[in-house]
Amino acid sequence: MNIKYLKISLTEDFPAIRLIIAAMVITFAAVVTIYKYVDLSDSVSASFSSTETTILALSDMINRVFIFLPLYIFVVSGARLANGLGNTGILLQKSRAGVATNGILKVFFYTVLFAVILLIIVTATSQAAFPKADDFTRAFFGTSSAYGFRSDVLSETPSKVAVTLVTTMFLTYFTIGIINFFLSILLKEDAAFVLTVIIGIGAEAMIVQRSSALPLLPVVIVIAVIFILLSFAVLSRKNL
Amino acid sequence: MKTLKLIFSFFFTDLRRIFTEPTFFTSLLLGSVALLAPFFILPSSSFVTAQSAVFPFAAPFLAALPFAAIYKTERETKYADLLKIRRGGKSYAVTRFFTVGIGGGFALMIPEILLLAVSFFINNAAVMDDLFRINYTLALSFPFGFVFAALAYAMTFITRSKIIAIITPEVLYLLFTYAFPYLDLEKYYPPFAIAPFIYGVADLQYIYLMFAAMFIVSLIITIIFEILTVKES
Repeated sequence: MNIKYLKISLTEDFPAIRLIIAAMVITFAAVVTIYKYVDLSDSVSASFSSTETTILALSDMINRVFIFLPLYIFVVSGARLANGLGNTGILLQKSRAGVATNGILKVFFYTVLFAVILLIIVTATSQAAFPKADDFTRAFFGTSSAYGFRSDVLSETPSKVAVTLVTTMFLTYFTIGIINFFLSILLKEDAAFVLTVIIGIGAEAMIVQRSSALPLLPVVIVIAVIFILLSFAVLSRKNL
Repeated sequence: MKTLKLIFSFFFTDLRRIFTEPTFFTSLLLGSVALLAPFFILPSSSFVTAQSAVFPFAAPFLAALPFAAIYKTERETKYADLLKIRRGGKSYAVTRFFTVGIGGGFALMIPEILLLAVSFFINNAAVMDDLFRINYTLALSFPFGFVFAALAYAMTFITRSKIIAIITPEVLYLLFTYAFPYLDLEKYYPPFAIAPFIYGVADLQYIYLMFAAMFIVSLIITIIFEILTVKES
């Protein structure tokens, strides 16, 4: 593992244009979602709090599965995880395991970057529209079951629920990023992108449908570890 | 005069190439399935209801599929260099803009004509009664395909990946389709541009405005690219 090389490869393939496009689309989606809850709170004549709308916007089926996830894969696959430099990368790294470590660290870095951008935009939009509150509001009690939240969620504080949701969401995203890294070793960038989008949408839709994603978290971590080991194994044999 | 002749010969060769491209036939097949399946599955369906069931939501992709990524393919296979030598170093980006657009237009129009033929064969009285709406729908399919294929073609100069260029117009279109009803912008609802009778009545003025804006944007991107490549060589 060569720290100098990691620094070079992070700055060389930095997907700045893709991140800007992603930020624009996220802003658009966030505004649309928050607008939906403004309409809803008018119709039930009770205001949500900003943390609740953040939770609702992040757990919204269409947002999470069909907008944020493809955007995340779009950003991560733009980083050229495996085939940026090809076999020259292996020479520069001096080891094959180094290339795999480098790719996984890259996935992690871009996941964190994407998460920060996403959270800043969504929380800023919901704070512009709704006031702050420490406990769950009446509007959320009335509508939460319609959005698939179980009653045990309501006994916690909103900030705890938000933190749990964000952690689960980005661990699954990170796993999907690892799968994209593994596929980009085997295939071309385009094919890896399309395959990951199909796999990711299927997996994420299954997780969201079960509403409470917490019990699945160990499975997600195990899948991530399996794919990390697989990419090490494949990279030690295959030329890029 | 010689330049004009060169441009026209290139235009017609390219046009002939489109109609032998395998991706063009893939697009036709997918389009026919998207049109004919609802026609036979939905109860008491006519041309207009079958056309506005699935087809409007896949149309930008079907228009971009046949020929839009041709620039990337030619760069990959080095055919672009050969073409450049043959044309004396001149760029052909703008000429191709129109052929790509025509290809996209036909990719949407031919399946619709097929659907019209099938529905006429099954129930010709219903088709004759509905002639105004059918003509209106058919007339919009060609400009729609032209504009979206041209947009995807312009995207190939910006992005690195072939698939992203083809998918981008479709993604934008679906994003706006999802968002506009929530934002009280229903009169700009994008599927109106290809299926004006999908619900309510569409306003033709906005549809033409959208077509014109997208046409101009993609043409400007293509012209900028052509100027840049001429400077390079």
